[in-house]
Amino acid sequence: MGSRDEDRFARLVHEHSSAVGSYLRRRLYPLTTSDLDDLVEETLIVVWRRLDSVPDDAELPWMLGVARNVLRNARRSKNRRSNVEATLTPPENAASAEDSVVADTSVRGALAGLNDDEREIVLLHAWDGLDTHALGVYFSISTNAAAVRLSRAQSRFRELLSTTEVH
Amino acid sequence: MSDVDDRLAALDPAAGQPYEHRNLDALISRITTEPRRAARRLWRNIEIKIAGTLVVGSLIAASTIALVQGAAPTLPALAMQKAAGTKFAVAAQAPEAGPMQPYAEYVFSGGLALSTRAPHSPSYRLAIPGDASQEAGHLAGVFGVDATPLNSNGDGSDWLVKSESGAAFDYENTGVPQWYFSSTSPAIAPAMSSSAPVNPLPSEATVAADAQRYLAQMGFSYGLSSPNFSTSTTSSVAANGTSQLTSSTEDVVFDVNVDGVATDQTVSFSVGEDNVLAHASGPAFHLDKSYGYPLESPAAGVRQLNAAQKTKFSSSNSVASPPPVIDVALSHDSITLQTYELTDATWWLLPVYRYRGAYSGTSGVASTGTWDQLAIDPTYVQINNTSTSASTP
Repeated sequence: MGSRDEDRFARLVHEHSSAVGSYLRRRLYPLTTSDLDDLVEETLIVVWRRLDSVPDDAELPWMLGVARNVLRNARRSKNRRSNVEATLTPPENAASAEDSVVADTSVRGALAGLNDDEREIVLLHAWDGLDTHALGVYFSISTNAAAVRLSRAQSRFRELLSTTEVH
Repeated sequence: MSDVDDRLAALDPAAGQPYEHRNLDALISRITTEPRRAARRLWRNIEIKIAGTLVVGSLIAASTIALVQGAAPTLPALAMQKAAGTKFAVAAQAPEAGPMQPYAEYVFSGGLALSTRAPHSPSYRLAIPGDASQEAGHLAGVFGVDATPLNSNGDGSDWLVKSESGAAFDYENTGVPQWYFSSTSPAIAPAMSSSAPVNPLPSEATVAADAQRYLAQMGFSYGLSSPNFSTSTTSSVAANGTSQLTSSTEDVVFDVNVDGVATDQTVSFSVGEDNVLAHASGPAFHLDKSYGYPLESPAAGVRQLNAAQKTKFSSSNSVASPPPVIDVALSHDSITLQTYELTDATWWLLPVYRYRGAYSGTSGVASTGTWDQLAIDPTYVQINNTSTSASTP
């Protein structure tokens, strides 16, 4: 690769590494913050290797898609090493990773009521700031499909929230 | 009631602590000069860090150095690699601040449920294939990937075999070597869903039979047990962000076992439509020799678990407040075999007690958990603070 590629990669890293790191931090569990730098670097290595595939109009969601895979593989590695579950993983009936950080019990209850796909798209929008175009890239679906999926998930979240609120 | 989006945003675990890498320019320089396929090295780092945690968690209670004194002169001490100081180990002892870190001191009790008699379970020294290139070529051939293995990292740690059809076989020659097969060249597939299969899939029995057939051809001296089946659907993504290919596979993950005892190694297979193998992975080792190292009893192992907890928290000077204490009633134990590296760079499968117990968490919710403890009699274990000396059979 030539210097032009290196310049583009450097720009991607400077512009998006913070968002990638924050994305990973939000979903790190059951890994630990000591792994965060490694996960970011792993993600950027993949970005470097596949630089030609990074779409110009959707760099960040594409990179978050890579981070998603990196995190998933790291979790698999961790699961293979289940011998450390005593110190690093929650007991079987503990709350999910996202649940555990939610202090607003009503919101927590509503999030818990969503299925995995619904919860993911709601939080990608709320926490990672992905709009429908970016969500489409992230999920490899059309923008319209992403908009519909997000709208449905948000509606369901609001519906669940209304039933868990203390009146 | 505030706006829903605001309420969600207020709960963002990354809010107020945006990620900042310490030295982005150095990171960029390092990555852009990395040889191709260096990414796997980081995976190994993560796994090794986790393994380091195990060694610390299991053995720190054995204090400094335990010498073998006459009980069985034909069995020298198992000299362990010093693992303290790894980032993972530090995190396990004193979790960094954050809501996702379990942080508590556990006090274990076994009572009558755990035996005071030591069982017998062999330890195994592993034979790692000596010629990684040759082994990579042999194993790749089992999966129909016939080509010359390429030393992709230039240091002998990673061998890649790729066929003209795009199938790829990767052999990681670090630690206990691991092999990976993919029917297509490794690619990033950002979208993976748990939706219904998009194509017909083989039965679980067919997939299990496929796995056994491949394993027999590879010739390893380990067995497979406890299959865990699932179905996954993966979508690869084109450069323009549109969906390119979506396919489903029937997946199975086996425990690798030796003489009927489960190990910490796994073998996985993913099989798609028309019984076409999509992915597979597993360890590459043979059994060299078994040894009858004496074990301590399950009850004695609990004392070591407790000692490890005391050491963990007494040695930490970065904890602002003492951890909550949680009492755990252990009610069951079993033996597994887990991989350890000794100071002479040999790899072993050593018996480990896996305890299971119940407790009430800090929130009062009843929970269950499992804890591991090396089962070898501590007098046969030597933890070195240096990595130069070794005393192994």
